[in-house]
This record gives sequence, structure tokens and C-alpha cells, in this order.
Amino acid sequence: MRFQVSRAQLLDAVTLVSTVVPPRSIKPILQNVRLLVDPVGVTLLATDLEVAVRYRLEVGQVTEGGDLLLPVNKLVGILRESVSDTVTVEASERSVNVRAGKSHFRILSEDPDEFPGIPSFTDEGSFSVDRESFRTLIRKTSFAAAREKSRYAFNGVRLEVEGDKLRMIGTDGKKMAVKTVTLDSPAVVERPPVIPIKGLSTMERVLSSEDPKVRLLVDDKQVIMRSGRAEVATRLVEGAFPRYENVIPKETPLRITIEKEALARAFRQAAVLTNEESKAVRMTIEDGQLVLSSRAADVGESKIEEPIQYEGEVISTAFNPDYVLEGLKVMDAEQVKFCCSGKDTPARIDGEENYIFIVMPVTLRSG
Amino acid sequence: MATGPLPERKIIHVDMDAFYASVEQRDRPELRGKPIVVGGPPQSRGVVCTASYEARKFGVHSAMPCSQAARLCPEAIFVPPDFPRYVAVSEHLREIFRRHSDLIEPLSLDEAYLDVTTNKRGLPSATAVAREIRREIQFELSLTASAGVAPNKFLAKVASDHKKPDGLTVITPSRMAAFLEKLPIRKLPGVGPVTEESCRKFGLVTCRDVLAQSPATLERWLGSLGPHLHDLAQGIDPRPVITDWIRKSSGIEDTFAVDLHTLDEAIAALATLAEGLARRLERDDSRGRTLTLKVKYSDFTQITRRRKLPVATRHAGVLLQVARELLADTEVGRRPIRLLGISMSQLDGDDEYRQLHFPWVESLLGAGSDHGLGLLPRADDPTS
Repeated sequence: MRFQVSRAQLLDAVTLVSTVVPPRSIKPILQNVRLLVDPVGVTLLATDLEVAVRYRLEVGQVTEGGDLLLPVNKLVGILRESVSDTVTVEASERSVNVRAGKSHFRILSEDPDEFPGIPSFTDEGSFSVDRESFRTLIRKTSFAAAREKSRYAFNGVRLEVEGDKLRMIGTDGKKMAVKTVTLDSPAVVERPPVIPIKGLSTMERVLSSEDPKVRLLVDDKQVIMRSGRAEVATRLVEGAFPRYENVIPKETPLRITIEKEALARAFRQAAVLTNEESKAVRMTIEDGQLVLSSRAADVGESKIEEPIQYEGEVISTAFNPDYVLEGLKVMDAEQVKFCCSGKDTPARIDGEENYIFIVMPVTLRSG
Repeated sequence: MATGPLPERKIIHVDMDAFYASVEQRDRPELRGKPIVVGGPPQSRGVVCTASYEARKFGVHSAMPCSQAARLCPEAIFVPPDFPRYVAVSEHLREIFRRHSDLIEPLSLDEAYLDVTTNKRGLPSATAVAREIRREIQFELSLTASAGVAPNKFLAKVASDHKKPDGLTVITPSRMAAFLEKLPIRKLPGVGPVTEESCRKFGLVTCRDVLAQSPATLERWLGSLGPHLHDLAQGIDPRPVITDWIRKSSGIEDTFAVDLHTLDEAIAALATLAEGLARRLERDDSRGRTLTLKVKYSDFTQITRRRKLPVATRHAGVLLQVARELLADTEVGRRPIRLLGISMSQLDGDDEYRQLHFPWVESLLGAGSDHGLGLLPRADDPTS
């Protein structure tokens, strides 16, 4: 097996697939990238068994097809340090020779048959979504999902299709983000999958600027995305996703209208005088002004006033400022409407169309 | 973002067995083994507060008119209630609870929820805590209690009722579903005879029947109660244990083997005390605003000095600094001292903070995993 390829292109491709390669693994074989070489190109494969990336590279010169494994960090090191325009890769029995200009490397190689199988994308049963819409969905929902690795459905984002609406929902049980975009044509997904955060962030990373559309293939075990030359397959998070619609307050007794940036600034200011043990900013209305206040034991306290318009009854409540700010950060809106349903029930922040952000308050006992 | 997964909760419900009657029987041996009724006189309009188990066999139960109790059980001995005594016993009971958790929600003199997700003694499991509490009640109060251990309040209460009197029932998250399946809905909080009757019309008798229906169907049949029942039937009950008990003060003192004579010795002793108090405050997750210094001289005369602080704190350095300043107002260094102590009062001057969760969180955590709760399967587990 032998092929020659542009060094820069191969470096880009290997770098891209290497994002899923685990730094350490109980299965050392996963620290390799697999190269499947055919007469017209090379397919690169890498996986951590949860997420897999496949990348197709057209190659100028293939003398002979083949299949080989290379340690990803070694290959990246060689490609990064070389100044040669092209590299030549040639496989022999138990090793691989890499030539880059006047440099020559011989790397021991493991058996490619030991590498786990990686599902590939098929058009059948897939549907397409605008690339930037898909990016928006990921950005506006995945932050709300829980970060810790566990086997709960919180650690992923649910994907739902309803006719021509594609929706993602992320929640960690304390906050929740729901974003809906429109598809070009209606699609059907029988069982809405819950996609792990790592799978989503890998998908976002490989989105190709060459391809305005993303195609998604969903089945009971996995979701496969194709964008340009890249495919990402991810296993799903098991476990029931909560009945998330239940916590979206419909009618709220208090609605505060405020410029988004002013609200974010006020929360950032009040957050200065909070600490890890009491991450809380109180929110109330006094004399028609929004009043945020905070207090940190052994440090001090703050009070921030901001003019607002509001309708309904005054509700005094408190929030973790980080959660509110995370929601505001991704919201495309000049003005937002902060809708409180009660002291210890969910609040909804409206601003962007087709976007719902919900946050639970914190309770405080004042001394 | 450093938000850990929600720990599964471990709740104990402790319920004293026939509390008032048992206290009477304990303190008056002549009443033991006899049907007694604590309440008004037999012919009065008063009601039964508590009936002993002997009287219950005749169908006597609390809240029943005394006249009716007398008809059902003519041999019953009627005893007027002695509330101050029950309160004293109840205080001792709370004292036992407090050794294990500060998260105590008393429901009455003889019944309380404890959140022992973490317990103060570091016992290995909630079951071990419940067993120890029951042992201490038996040993120190010569009374028996029934206890239930479960991941939430409602199941803990159902569990404590499961083997009364003198029983312990543990419902682990993994056995929750099996336990609930057969449970009559009458046992669910909020389901009284009227609701029970209207549920029966729809064929809903056990939790299994409830779960066979969708929340939407239940809502159509029963209104907003429907989805709520559906949650309960799956063991979803996120209500927290609400403690009404706030520690008044926290203190630490040391009696010295050899009297202290110099100021430096006293300051060194205070430094140790300050560290200990800071640790204790931290453990209890509280802070205080008033520091009190106690000095006992070698002749056993004792004085206290106190200072109010501008903010609540539990910082060992601050405690030591203030205590040292208070020393200036004593005769320490000039008279030998046998004891020094410092305490903090006006505790919890700061906010008690709790991030709320969506109601379904607990059920998801319960569904995801059943290890880590520390509840050991036991022979007396009804579902084993």
C-alpha cells in the first residue's frame, strides 16, 4: 500500500479526526487513526467507542490500496514538524513508512482488524438541515445539559422532529434550553434520540464550510451526521428524557421587560459579591425598578438597580447568576422578557424567536 | 461549571409507636399490658389522643370520641394527657435525631423526617442510621419507634407504617417500583376516602393501576391530581425535608489538666479552640455573628465576655482575633485559669442557599442508578 498526499491536507484531516481520540484509554488501539486507502482517496477513522469521526480525503496518487493503523499523536507530530509539501505513506508487514521531504519515519503498526467497526452514513432514511441552523441548535442548547459523565439523560441533548420543525432540548435539571428551527422539508424521527454532549460538540467542530447542508441519520442506537467530507457517528444516551414541556410556565404572574445587555450587566455586577457556597442573586422590584442584590459571607454585599417595565405582581426571588447569564449569552435579542412564575417555580426568559430558556430559582433563608 | 450530579436522597421517617399511651405505660407500670386511652374522660365530649395497642384491638383509634371508645372497650383505662411530659420526651427524641442529622422535619411530638443523605456520625448507610436511632430510642427512652428508609419523604412514611409497631422497613431505589406496584393508592399522600372512591370508579386501586394509564388520561379523569398521582405512583416526590430547627449557638471549651498562668498559654489554647470551632461551624454549614469568651478561674469563678461582629463568619483567624481582644477585658495572665471556651451565637446570619430543581429530577436520578444510596438490602425489606 502506498499513497502520496498533500502534507497540509493530511494534517488538517488527522487533526480533525483526532479530536475524538481519548488521551488515555483502557483500549490502547483507540489511540490510532485508521487509514482506509482506495484507488482515489483515503478515509480516516477515529473513535473513542462513544463518538466516531470519518473523514474522506481525495488523494493525488495512490499506487496501491490498503488498510493501516497509525498512532495519532505520532502522525500529527510528524506532519506538524515537517516543511515538506507532500508526504508519502507506505505500508509493509508490521510497520508503516512515512516520508516527508528528506525525513523518513518507520512506525510500528497494529493490526487494523483489531480496530472497532465504525458505522457509516447512508442517505436512505436521512434528512437534511441547514448547516447554520444546526450549529445554532447545538450552541443554544448543549450548554444547558449536564456536563458530568453519568448515565442519566441529562448528559445529552434531545433531538425531536415534528413535521418540518427540528428541535433540540438541553437541561441539567436546573436550567433548560429549547431551540426550534425549520427544515426544508418535513422529516420523521420515530424515537427522539438523546445525543451525548461529546457527540454534539464533535459534530459542531467538523461542520464544513464547504457544505451548506448537514444530513442526519437517526436510528435507535446512534445518530450519524454528514457534513462535507466528514461524518460523525455518536452513540445515544440511554435513559428516559424528562417530560420537559411540563416545566415550561405558560402564564406567569410577573413579566419584566428589559434590555438584554442591561440585565446581563446587572447580574454580572451582583455576581461579584456571591461565593461558591451561596451563588445567589436576589431579584425583586422596588419603586418600579429592578433590584438585584447579593451577599457573600466574610466579603460584603451588593445592590444593583435597573430601570424596567413590568406587568403583573411583584415576586421576589433569587437565581444562580451563572445560569441566567449562560442563557442570556446565547440569546439573540435586544430586549428580553423575564417571566417569573413564583418564588420556587421555574422562570422563563423570552427574547429570541423559537427559543425557550427556563431557569429554576434558588431558595434563601435570610438572617 | 462545577455542578455535581444530584445525590440521591436518603430519608428516614421515624414514628413513635402509640406515643402518649406508651409514655404513660412506661411511667406507670400498673398500666402495662392494659388497654389505655389517653384523652378526655370516658363520658366526655373529648376525643382519643392515643390508644395503646391493647385498646386498638377493640377498634379504638385516635380522634374517635371518648364515649365511643368507652363503648367499644369497656375495660379501657382513661388517662388524661400530660403534655409537658410528652414534650420533654419529645425533646430527648430530637436530641437523638440531632446526633445523626441537622436536617430534621418534625411533624409532631412523635414523628419526624430526617434527611440522612449525609449523616453526622458517618455511619455507612441510611439503614444503619435508622437502626441506630431505633436502638438509642429503645435504650434511652425505653420506648419503641417504627422507621422507614427510602429515597423520598412519601415512601419513607409509607415504609415506617409498613411494620408497626417496632419495625424497620427499607425501600431502596431499586426495589421502589416493586414496592409501589402493589401499594393501594389510599396510601399515597393526598388520597383520602373521597379521592379513593372516585379513583375506584376508574378502576384505580393500586399504583400499578395508576401507572397503566397515561398522565393525560389521569388528568382527564381526575384533574390536576391525576398527573400528580402518576408521579407518586412512580415514587416521584421531590419535597425536601424542611427543618424548623435552627441551632442557637455552637461552642467549644477545654478544661486544662494544669491551670494556665500566662497570657501566651491562654492565647495558644484559644488558637486551638478557634480552629476547632471553625471546623464545627463549617461542618454544620453555619456562621455566627456573636462571639462569646468564657473563662473559669482556678477558684471556679466564671466570667463571660462577648462581642458582636459586623458580619457572620466562621473564619478561625477572625475567631481568634476577637477572642484575644476579649481576653484584654479579663484577668487572664494575672489569675490562674482552669477552663477557656469560645462559642458563636446568632448562627446562620447568612443566607441558607439551595438551588431548586425541576420536579422530575429526582425520579431520573433514581431511575438511572441504584448504587451510592447506601441502603443495604435487608431481610425485613418487604420487597425482598
